[in-house]
Amino acid sequence: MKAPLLLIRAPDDWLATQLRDWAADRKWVVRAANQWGAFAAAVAPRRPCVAFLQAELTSDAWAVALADLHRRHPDAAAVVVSDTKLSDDLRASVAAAAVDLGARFALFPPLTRQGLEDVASGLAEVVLARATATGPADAEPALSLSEGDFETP
Amino acid sequence: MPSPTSPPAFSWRALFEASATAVFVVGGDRTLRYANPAWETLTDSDLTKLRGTKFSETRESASPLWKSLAPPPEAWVGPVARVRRPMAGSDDGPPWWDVTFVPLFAADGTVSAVVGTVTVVGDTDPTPAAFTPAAVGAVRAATAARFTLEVLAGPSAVTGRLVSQVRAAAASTAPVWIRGEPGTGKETVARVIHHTGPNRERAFLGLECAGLQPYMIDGLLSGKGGLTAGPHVGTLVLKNPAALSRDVQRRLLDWTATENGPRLICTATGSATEAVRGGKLLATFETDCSALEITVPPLRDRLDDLPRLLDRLLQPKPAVAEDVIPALRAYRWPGNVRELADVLASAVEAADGGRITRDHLPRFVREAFLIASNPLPVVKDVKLDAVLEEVERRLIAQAVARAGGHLTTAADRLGIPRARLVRRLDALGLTPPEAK
Repeated sequence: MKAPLLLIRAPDDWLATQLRDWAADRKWVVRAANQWGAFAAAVAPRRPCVAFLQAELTSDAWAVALADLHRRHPDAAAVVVSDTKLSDDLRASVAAAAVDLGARFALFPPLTRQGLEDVASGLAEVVLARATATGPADAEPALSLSEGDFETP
Repeated sequence: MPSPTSPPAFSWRALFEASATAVFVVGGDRTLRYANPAWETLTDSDLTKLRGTKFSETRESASPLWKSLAPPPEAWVGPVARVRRPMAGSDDGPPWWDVTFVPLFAADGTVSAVVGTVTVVGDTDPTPAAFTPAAVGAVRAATAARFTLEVLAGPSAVTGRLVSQVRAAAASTAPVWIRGEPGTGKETVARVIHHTGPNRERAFLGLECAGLQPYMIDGLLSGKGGLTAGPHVGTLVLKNPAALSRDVQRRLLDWTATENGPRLICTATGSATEAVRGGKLLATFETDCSALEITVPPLRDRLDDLPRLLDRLLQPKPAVAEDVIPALRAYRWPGNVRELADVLASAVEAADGGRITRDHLPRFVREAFLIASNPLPVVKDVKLDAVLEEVERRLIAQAVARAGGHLTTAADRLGIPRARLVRRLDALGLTPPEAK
């Protein structure tokens, strides 16, 4: 399994700053995607990934990037973050659109470091468990002998 | 000719001719039999020229119009089928054509014709305006279009059964329990049920029960601007609901029971009954979800689907050598479809954009193929005790020799007490070296 990835797409480095210590403590690779188009491409196959997207609600670029990520890497856990104050109804609409497009969570103001870290930790647990989960077909014999075990001393 | 006393004949043709809904009929011989004016307007076609035209057996070889309107295979065997496809002449939506196929059964039980209706979605008002920002609606419609029954279909018998169960589940809003090994595609099945079901215009919410703390779930659902405030969520999918605390389980069940509450789908590796008996799940889950339980088969039980899965997982699909499928068939796939996707991704990487051959597959897959290709000779009348004794004799002799005759060291290496090693040397008739 490759080292887990914390992928962040945000217009500034505030989000990355909040999560830097969290990632360092767990030895996760942190990568920032500068362009929406490169967001899903930054995730490598077979690499557990938690992705934070800071949505700029003036366009649908975040939704396109989120849908692309979910299509190409359905096991990556995406979190949509908005720092815009919204009415309750619009907030619910954005959250509904986000989860419908494959986001595992949506965060709105007030955004706290603890809240971001809790979401990251919870989803990290899930993606790591999923990356190693297998069915019963992988049962190996308890003892494995090779020809070398019978070599004449 | 009707008798003067019989009621006037029902003018079904006039009804269709006046309808604003595009309607067409495909005969059992797969030819176009009838279409109403609304259909002609929608497709910009002339029925007189197209009547009797045969639909191709495969959608891939069909004309653009037939590619969008051809009944899927399940329409010729089962109840109502619904698909969302790009409109004729487009590779992608929006707008989309939601096509509903209603089979007409003959007296002998076969489908004699299929009636299709077409609804355009995604061009003007893809989702209710108050429900989501309009710009995102088109993206959501495109995502929804990926999850049709065709995604699950395959030639193996177990897959056919799965598709039938999913079709039945999509026809209602009853709770569903989906079980299956990790990586089998439980969430994909849940998505297909949602996006082809009655709640498809509302959102799909997949909740990771094992990772999220209760306060986070409360914040998402019932906090300020939470999703429970309105009819935002159409389907709530609880992944491993037994991981939730019982009070959160209760609150979620209460939400699904409200008037505008979402449909409940649970996914887990085991059954609801097992989780309830283990004391981890409220009994209501068992009673509510047990009516419709769908088991997603492991990949090793549907290896006939491999070619179709390759088509789906490799987008765009590179050239694949003939020796790849036999190699994939020989492996047991403990990680199921998720592992297959990973293996294919690594093969694409290894092939560096070229044709994928067996040599590009990971070593463990190639080894499984080699073992399957060279089965061990069948040995009859094996005396197990004799074989085990011989194995023990060789291992002990080897360990003692490597230890230079030092029995304590040899016993350590074998992981047994020294006294037991001495007893075994005696029992096996091995000459113990001079004790050291």
